[in-house]
Amino acid sequence: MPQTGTSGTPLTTPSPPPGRNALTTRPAPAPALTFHVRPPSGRHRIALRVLRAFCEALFSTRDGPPPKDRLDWLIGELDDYITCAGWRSGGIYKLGLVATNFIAPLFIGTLVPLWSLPIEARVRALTKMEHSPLAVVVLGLRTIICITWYDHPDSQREICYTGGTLLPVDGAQA
Amino acid sequence: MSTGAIVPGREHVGPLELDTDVVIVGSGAAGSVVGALLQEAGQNVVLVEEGPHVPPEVYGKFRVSEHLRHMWRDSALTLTNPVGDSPAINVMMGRCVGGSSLLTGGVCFRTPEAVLHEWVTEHGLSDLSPEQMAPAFEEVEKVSHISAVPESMRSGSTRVYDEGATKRGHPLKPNRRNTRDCVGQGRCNFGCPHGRKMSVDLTYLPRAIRSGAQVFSDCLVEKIVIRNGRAVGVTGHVLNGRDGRRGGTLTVHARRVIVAASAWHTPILLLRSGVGRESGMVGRNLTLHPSFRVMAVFDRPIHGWIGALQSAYSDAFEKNGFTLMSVFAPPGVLAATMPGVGEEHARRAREIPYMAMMGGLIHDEGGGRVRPAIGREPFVTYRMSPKDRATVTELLTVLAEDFFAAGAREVVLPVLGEAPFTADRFRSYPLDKVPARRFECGSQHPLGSARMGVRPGHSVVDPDGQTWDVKELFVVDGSIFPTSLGVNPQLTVMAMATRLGWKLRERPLPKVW
Repeated sequence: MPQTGTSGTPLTTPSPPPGRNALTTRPAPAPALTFHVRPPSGRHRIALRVLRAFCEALFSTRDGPPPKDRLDWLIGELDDYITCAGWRSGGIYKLGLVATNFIAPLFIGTLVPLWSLPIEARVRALTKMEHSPLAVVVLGLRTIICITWYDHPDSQREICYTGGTLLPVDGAQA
Repeated sequence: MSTGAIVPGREHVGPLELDTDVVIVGSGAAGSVVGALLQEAGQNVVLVEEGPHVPPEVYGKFRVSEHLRHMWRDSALTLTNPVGDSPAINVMMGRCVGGSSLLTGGVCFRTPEAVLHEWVTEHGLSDLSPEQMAPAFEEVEKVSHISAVPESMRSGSTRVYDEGATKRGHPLKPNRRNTRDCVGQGRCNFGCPHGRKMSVDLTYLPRAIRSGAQVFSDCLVEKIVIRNGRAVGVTGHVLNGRDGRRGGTLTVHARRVIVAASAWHTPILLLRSGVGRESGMVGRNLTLHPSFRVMAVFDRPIHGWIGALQSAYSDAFEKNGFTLMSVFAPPGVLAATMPGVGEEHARRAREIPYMAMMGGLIHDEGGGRVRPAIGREPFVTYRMSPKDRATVTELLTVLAEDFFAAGAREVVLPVLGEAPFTADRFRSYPLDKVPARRFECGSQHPLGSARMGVRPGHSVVDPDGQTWDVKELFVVDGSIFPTSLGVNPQLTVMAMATRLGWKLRERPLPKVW
């Protein structure tokens, strides 16, 4: 039964403006606001071993490999990433990792897999592969790695990335 | 079944069977628009979406990598298979309630008049003249709050590029975007943290739900049910759990079926249902707007991440086949695309605050094809035409020279394995001789794999969006475009859906299944 006003005409309720509150919320993937290390899924053990070797080389500096806790966090996130990517794309990504593990060392004249090489040799092998016709494989692997690595606030601080906005938001200073 | 909410299939146990007037496959920019229009006209609508429902207050807090893995198709790892001298193209699409509208930079162009004229004169689609499309554009622009981005919202990256472009005689123009009170967070592609981008999950979907439409997330439609030459529903599976494993069967009985599953999945659904096989046109004519970006390193800080993500463009090279578009990327993407491992990588990453970026998209001729493959995802090939390949060289040259005119120390081209270029090295570099497979190329605009036309042998759907060989089966998404646009397609997709939605609400529903 519609409500009516004093004139007998139906009272029209102004519809709320479209906006974020208009949708009923339901459970959804929760953002990882804390930077805890995810427990390993146990699904991608070989791929994750190569990933760790790759990441140690990619993010090493004159001071040595990256901090272990941040690397552990990164590997946990990448483990989840590969799982979310599904069997085909995740599988191709893992295939790229395994191929790189054996092909990259060939560029520096050794048959020893990437994960068994010292970090300096890994850097040289990946650098050479990056300048070869197989560069697209390295790019594909490192894109997801870098996107995840630079999600970490410590990594952002190291490159002076601040995020932020042009204008104040909800009264806060930008 | 509850109404006024989005029902998550991931929590549904057992089979799911529904009866409705209209079932819409896909809840993106097209499906949501048609869903709202038809439900408001009194037709009972069920929208089914393969991806999860992630509310704005959740995706607004996602880190970039979380956004990619939970809301992008294939976690953003989708690649085309190159044929001939073509790059492998990373195609980025949404897989969530609201679809790719949640992933755009918000850019909204009306379809260029030259493109609409081509559709009218060469494809015979007389309904699609600029005059006849105008009311649909106006409607979407009003609902989606589309307005010009003020110059004050431009990022440092866009400003510095504009300096160079202005010196060289083609200053940037302000983009129009679907934002309200944008604060310039610069991460529209990864979900606005403040809910200021008016994607369809904030505009059309709430309208549809308020009117009584039912939206089901995590529901994969695998087949259209056809009886006596007429579509009478869809079948598929509910996707359970966080990893989307196949759960109970999904069956929707409907008097009308509308497909809005994108140029990537609409042709697959049609082919798997036996639709359009005779014409041989389903899955063909895919266009992608192959996109390239050039980064430039300056001696002064740029802080390109502060400001509206895509605030300006240039159509000065429209006749040359490309459009320039301001853009920036998160630090991880920037760091990934610069060569270097170890200390070399760290050194380049520390230059990110000094970097600017500009992109451009090719108005391509359409060398893509979508085919069914094992699993849910299609096998997509793309052959870049020689003309488009030549356009890539011209585009990259314009971008690099504009940056050098603005005072850039060096530019980073999207050529795999190449170190940054000084102006001298760039000018002596044989860019036209680089094999296309060495280009790093992206696409956010798959279009045209089930195109509209006036003859069954040359198209998949008629001018009303109905498939030629199955009645009451309509396609309303970007796959029906006869050609590529040369500009971001969001507004065209929504305007075409509006136009078709207006027609569908006037069209009587068949009486029985």
